[in-house]
This record gives sequence, C-alpha cells and structure tokens, in this order.
Amino acid sequence: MLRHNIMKRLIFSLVLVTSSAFGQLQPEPTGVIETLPEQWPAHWIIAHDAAFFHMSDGKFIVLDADSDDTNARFKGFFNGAFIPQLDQSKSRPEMYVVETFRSRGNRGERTDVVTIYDKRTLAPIDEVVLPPKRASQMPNHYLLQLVDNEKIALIYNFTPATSVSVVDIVNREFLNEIPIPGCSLVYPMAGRAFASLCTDGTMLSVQLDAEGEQASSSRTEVFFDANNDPVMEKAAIVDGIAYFPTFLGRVIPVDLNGSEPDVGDAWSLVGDEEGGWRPGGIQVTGTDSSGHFYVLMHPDGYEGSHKDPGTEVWVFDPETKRRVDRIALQMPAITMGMTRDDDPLLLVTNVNLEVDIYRVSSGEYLRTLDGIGAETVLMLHGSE
Amino acid sequence: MALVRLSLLTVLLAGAALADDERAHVNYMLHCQGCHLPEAQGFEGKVPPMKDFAGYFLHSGEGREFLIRVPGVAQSALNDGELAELMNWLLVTFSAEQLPDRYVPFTGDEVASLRQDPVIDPATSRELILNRLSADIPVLAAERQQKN
Repeated sequence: MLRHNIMKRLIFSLVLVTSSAFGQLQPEPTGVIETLPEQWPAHWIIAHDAAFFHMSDGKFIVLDADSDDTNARFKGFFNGAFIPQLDQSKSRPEMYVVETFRSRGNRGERTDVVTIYDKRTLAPIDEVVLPPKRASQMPNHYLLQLVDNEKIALIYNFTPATSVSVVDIVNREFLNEIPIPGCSLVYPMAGRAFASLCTDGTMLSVQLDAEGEQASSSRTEVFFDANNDPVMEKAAIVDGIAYFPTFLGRVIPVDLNGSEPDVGDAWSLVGDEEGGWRPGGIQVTGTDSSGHFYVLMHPDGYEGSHKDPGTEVWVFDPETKRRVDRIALQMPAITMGMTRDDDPLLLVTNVNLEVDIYRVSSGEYLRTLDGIGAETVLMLHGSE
Repeated sequence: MALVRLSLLTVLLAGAALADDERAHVNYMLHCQGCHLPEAQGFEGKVPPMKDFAGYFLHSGEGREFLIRVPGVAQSALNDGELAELMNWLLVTFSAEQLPDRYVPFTGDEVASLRQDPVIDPATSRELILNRLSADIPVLAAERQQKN
C-alpha cells in the first residue's frame, strides 16, 4: 500500500516536472476552421482525386501550386464520390459538382444532384435534384458546362440513351431534359445553346428557349471520320472556338460563337516534326488566358496510343496555326490542366500519379505536390 | 406455316450473297452488345429488347425504315454493306419468329439511303410505329398490353 503511494507520488512529480519544462510553449489552438478568400489566388488549383480503384470515395483538393511547404500548400478539400464532375463559376463564388448517391451507399435507389459549393467554406450550400441519368464515366470537362452568362448548367446524361439535363443554376431549379440521340457531351455555345459531338462525324447544336426547352436544332456537315482519324472529344476551347485534336495529330476547329457550329479547315499539330508524334492521355488539352492551347504529345504513336502518356506538352497559337513552344516533361504525364493568369502554370499528373508543376514561360519544372493525400488525380483545374 | 417461313428464309439467306455470319456476330459484339447485351435482351426501361421482338418492325415500311434510321444503327461506324449484313444476321438470329412470312433482307444500297436520315426522337417514333403495328399484329398488341 505504502509502496503504491510512493509510486503514485513519483509519477505525479514526473508529470509536474515534464509540464513545467515545456511551460514556455504557447498551447496550440486546435479545431480552428478558416475560410478561404472569395477570389482565390491565381495559382491555387483543384486536384480531382477520382479514387479510381475505389470509386465510392474521391475528393477535390484545393492546393497552392506555388508552395513548397507540404502543410501550407493544402488549403482544404471537399468530397466527391463515384467520379463526379466539377465546374467553377467565374461570376459567383460557387462551384458545381454533379454527383450520384445511392440510398444504401453503394447500392439502392439512385439520386443524382448538382451540388452548389461555396468557394469560401468548401461547404455545400444547396443542391438541385436531377434525373438519375448523369453519365458516370471518367471525368471530362464536357460532362458539365455553364452557358448563357452562367445562368444555365447543362449536364450530359447516358443511360445509354443520351440526353442533356438543363438546370437554371441561378434559381437552382431543374428545367428540362433534351434527347440528343447518337450524340455525346455538351459543348458551350454563345447564348442559351449547346453543341454535341455525334458518332457520324457531325456536331448537333441545340438552341434553348426561356423555359429550357429545345427551340431549334441543326447539324453540321460531316467533319471527321470515326474509322480512319477520329477526333478526341477533349477539345481546347479558345475564344469560343473548339479545337478538336485527332488521333493522328491534326486539329479541327469548330466555331461555337454563332447560332450554329461552323466547322473550319483542319491543320496539322505535327507539321514537319519527325518521330511519329501524336496527342495522347486522359485530359490531353488545356488553354491559357493568352489564347494559346496546349496538347499532351508522345512520340512513336501507333494505332491505340491515344491514351498513352505524353512526354512533352506542345503549345499552339491558333491564329497562326503554329506551334509556339514545347515543354519537355521530367516525367511523362497522363493528364493536364492550366492556371488562368498571365504567368500560367502547367499542371500534370505524371505516370507515378504525382502532381507536377511547370512554369509555362520558362518551361521549367518547379515542384511536385507531394503529401496531398491523393491517389489518382485524373483532372487538374486552375481556379477561375 | 413455320416450315414455309423457314424454307423461304433459307432461300433468301442463300440469295444474300456472301453474308458472313461470323463477321456479323463479331461486329454485333464490337458495335452493339455493349448496350444491347449478348442475347439482344436489352435492359428494362433503358435499352429496348431486340430478342424475340425486332422482327415485328419488318411488318411495316416505316418499321423497316426505323430499324436503320434509329441513331445507334444509322450513325454506327460500320459501312453500308457490313451494316446490312449485321442487321440481317441479327433479325434471323434473335427474332426469326417475329419476321413476316415474306421477309426481305436489307441490302447495302437500302441501308445507305435510309441511314442518311436518322430519326430525331427515337423513343417517340418507336412508340408510334409499334402502336400502328399492334393494330395488325394481335400477338404484339397483347404483348404490349401485358407490359403496360
């Protein structure tokens, strides 16, 4: 008994000694929740970790791509299960995520929504319930688009019948569903309209009325051959003109500024360059604010290499139809994104599934954003 | 009756020169069965069944046209000859019982002309055509009634 008391006293005094030795340190406040600025710095990015090998998870991580400090670069994250699609508003501090929920988690009744997120808190502030039809597929910018001065959100559906859900994203109300048989994805057109890419090598365009119903539609002439040189659906859009790279390394411009898509003349991305260069990857294109577009390229292309990693990113001026720069990657990459400022960063996911950052102006590799808790970053978004 | 139909089919099939069942099957696997499934059974509410059904469409001119003008067919990457071959194989393989007695296979030329004009709203067109066909085909009418 006595012995026990002595032990107790000893332990107690030890604790006192320990705490007095560290008594100079200020206690660290915990549980502090910060808010982010309404306008994010230009080099903040959103890395979409699709959790490819366990798709019932997944998240969007907000990162400062300028930071070399693992802790400081991590600004926050929000969830996104079953590979959702993200778009950001330029006119409101909001982001939109089209996502799917099932009543029993991984099974049960399906509910699709577009969730409206506050960019300052990364918290959901509202949602619009959609027909449970959104295309569940690898992320792609043209699964969700905003048109009509960001008043309308368009969501691509695939059941496998294809259609587009029209949402009034200001009043947060589902308006209508428009069938687009034989066509895929939504490309933003001027005004209250969208275009869609069709399997027969044409584009469909649909003009919407005030209620979000189809007012009129039209078809372009055939401008690509899906058998011999298909276009990649991941067009780079510069000033309302969609530049579609083809498997063999041409690019076909389609002007979406008018009431109907206007197909222009194709030109070569490769030119005289030898080595069998072709575009390839998951997200193969990007754009910057100066009007250039970027394509992930690999040498020694072959039938089926259109998803192969790129070893370089080529920069094109669509006005002159010429390559203006090429950025050699220190590690080949599978997907790319861009920041939208005057000194843009090139963002890529490399073949080891790490996020690498390059400065476009110098082409130099800056850093790898490690320690961000991501497994499979399939899309990289510059902040709007 | 069934015998007559079978022998007529045989004659017509023999006439469709050089039709290659294996090539048609492979094309079905590559271009169709991702959605329509291996036995053309489709799935409820999303993909209409072609099995024990598609043959009904050949009982009317507009039905016959619909089978080619439906976007999945009209806009497929197959050329006209391959597409005709595939459709003829599909009808006999999955829906021979529903074919009319005087079944005439598709030709490449017929497919070439029909596929120029894909239907805009396939779900609505399909319903209209089947409603009209039901008036002449009691067994189809009964089947549709049972489903509704």
